[in-house]
Amino acid sequence: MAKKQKQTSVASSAESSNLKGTFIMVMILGVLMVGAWFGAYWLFISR
Amino acid sequence: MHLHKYEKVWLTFGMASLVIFLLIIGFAAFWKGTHPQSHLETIDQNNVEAHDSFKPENLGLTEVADGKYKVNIVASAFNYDFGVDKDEKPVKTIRVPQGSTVLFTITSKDVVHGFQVAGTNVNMMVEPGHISRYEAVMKNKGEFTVVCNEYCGIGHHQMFGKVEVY
Amino acid sequence: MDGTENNLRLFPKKDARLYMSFMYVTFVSLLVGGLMGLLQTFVRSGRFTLPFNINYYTILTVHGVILGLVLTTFFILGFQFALMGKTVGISDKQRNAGWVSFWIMLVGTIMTAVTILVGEANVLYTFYAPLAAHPAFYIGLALVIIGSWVGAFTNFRQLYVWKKAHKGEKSPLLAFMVVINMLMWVIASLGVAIAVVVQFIPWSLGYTETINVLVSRTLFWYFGHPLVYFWLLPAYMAWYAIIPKIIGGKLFSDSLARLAFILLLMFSIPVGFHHQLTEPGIDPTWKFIQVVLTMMVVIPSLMTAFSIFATFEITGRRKGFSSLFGWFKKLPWGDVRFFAPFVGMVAFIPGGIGGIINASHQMNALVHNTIWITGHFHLTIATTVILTYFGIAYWLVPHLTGRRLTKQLNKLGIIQTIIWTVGMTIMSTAMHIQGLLGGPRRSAYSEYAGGAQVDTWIGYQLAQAIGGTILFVGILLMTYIFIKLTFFAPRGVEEFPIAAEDEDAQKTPKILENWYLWIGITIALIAFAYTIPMIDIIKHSPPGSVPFKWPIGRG
Repeated sequence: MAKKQKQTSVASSAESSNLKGTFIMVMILGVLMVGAWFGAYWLFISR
Repeated sequence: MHLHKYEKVWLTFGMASLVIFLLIIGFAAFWKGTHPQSHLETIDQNNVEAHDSFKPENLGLTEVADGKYKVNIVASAFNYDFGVDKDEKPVKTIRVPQGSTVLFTITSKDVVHGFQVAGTNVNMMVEPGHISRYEAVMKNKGEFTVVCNEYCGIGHHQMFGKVEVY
Repeated sequence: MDGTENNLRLFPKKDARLYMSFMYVTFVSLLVGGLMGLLQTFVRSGRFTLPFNINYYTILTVHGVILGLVLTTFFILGFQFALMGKTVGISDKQRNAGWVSFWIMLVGTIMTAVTILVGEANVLYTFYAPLAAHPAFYIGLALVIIGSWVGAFTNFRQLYVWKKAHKGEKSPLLAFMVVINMLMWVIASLGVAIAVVVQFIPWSLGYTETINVLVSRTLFWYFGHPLVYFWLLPAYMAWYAIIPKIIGGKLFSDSLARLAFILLLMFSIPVGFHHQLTEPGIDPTWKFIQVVLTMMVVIPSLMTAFSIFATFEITGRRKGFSSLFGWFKKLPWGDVRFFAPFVGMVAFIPGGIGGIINASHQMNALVHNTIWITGHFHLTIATTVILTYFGIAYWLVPHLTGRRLTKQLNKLGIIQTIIWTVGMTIMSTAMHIQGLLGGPRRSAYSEYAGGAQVDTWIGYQLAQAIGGTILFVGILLMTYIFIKLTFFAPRGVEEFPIAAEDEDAQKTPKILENWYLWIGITIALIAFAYTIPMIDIIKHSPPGSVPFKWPIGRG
């Protein structure tokens, strides 16, 4: 039982850890990925 | 195992993008028939002339219907055989009008070659014993270099041709 | 377990000697292979011809084999042996097995290298049949692979012995990662080993008359894609478990790191067809199935991207930087052990995105065998992976030689990284653009049929020669740093930076160490992706091909 309790407390501390910067960074990366792929797809279609 | 809520959002976004990519290329491939070159027809590489497409008189450009052409080619180290012209000289340039549909059919007599009409989507591996085939609409005007883009030996870079879309 | 003390304890001399031996071969390879690369870009600029009648394709083969197969494999085995030694220990017997592995690989390397240099193996590192090299080339390659297997099984044994002595404990993260990488390597290299031993060697010796070309290519690419993950995973090891320590933080998540590695094991093998998308003779439906599996292997890399940024942010915030990107400014930019791998991470953004484009089924026709591909893998292997390897070498080599990475050498390392970044940005960008314009890879200088299109290509080839020259300066500098760290840097103790877990970290689920399960799924996926198309390929085979020697200039 003690174990279970520990797990929830850790989960909440991880949840609250502030990763806003990380999120923005990975989303920029994601947008680059989608943008580049569609760019290549457009080139493929236009040839 | 615990995922941070932002990581969940990120992975959902990433995976959704991959699924969208797959849906687009899958739809184009299976419904529109734009699979990459996968002809699945074999041939005896030691006797390619036995195949109708590769008889010497059938090599090179033929107009099969209005705006529809076929080009048959035999690749060997280090040359593309596009047939001969009226003066019995080897053809090096294929000329087709803009907007025409061209079916390229090619095989190799010896080693592995490539066949790319650079600047178009015609890009195929050419392997002994297999026939490669790709149909393309020549959308854009210009001179396009045909290059062997798979290493075939020390004269590899001297293996080329040209497609002119006018 | 707080490993700080262990991180500072040097290896016994006899262990360090084994790990260093792999490093010597690594850096000799870097110099030799790099020189070949320089010459290639010169030739392709059209302003230079090779002296002494040396063939362009000879140096191209040396470049690919020495950097792609030799440098990587030696570095990886040496680094991984050191990781195993640090985390689970090595016995006398295991060390001897390590030496056996080293010598078999070295003999194989020398055999292959000599055969190429005398011009008997101008077949490039992919050695596509029916181009036929001298048998010594194939035998040498087989030895390199067999030697690496000895190393792999030694690593497996090391973890097994440790587990028996530590019942109920989870394996150290880095040891777990090494075993995953070696499992993948053994399963994957079986393919190329079968091709070489069953097909190429008897055929090149004249015992069999013909070879099945498509089968040999399929076996090669069954190996060829996991090969690139075999290069990448040691870099991921450093990103997950070493970089956090260098920046003064803790592991982001032990479980997620393990999960990412398991996913990489499962999905990096059944994807070889994405290198064969424009080939005749393979059913397009099966090509597409492997394209789908290829997209699956992107997922663990998406996870890795998040983990890395999160490690940076959490570490920065713990140090008290609370603004949105304040943590980013405070990363240890002046520490080459961080800076070099960091540039590697950045390069993996365009590198990875390019990879997704390459693998997109019919879209592959846009880039297949153009120099875009060369640009792509010079970002992934020759920037992401190699800069991370350099980042590792800056502390691993002095740790092994009992010396220190001095301030001055650290600074040289930073300069080296900047040189590399500039050179590669020029070269790789030029390659990507030229590739989209149709310029082919793997070709000596040629003006083809002439015309405007070819002129544009040559312009980009000039840019590549400039980039290549800058990169070669970087290689010379790296060689100098390696020599300094090996023989001349002041004596001392350089840390072996392994990051610890957070005290209140979540427990790692036991299932992540269920080897039977993960190996079982891996094999099932391979069987799914390859059985039917392989039967198809064999059933619909054309006549086999005899060896072709004259096209590669063999008498």
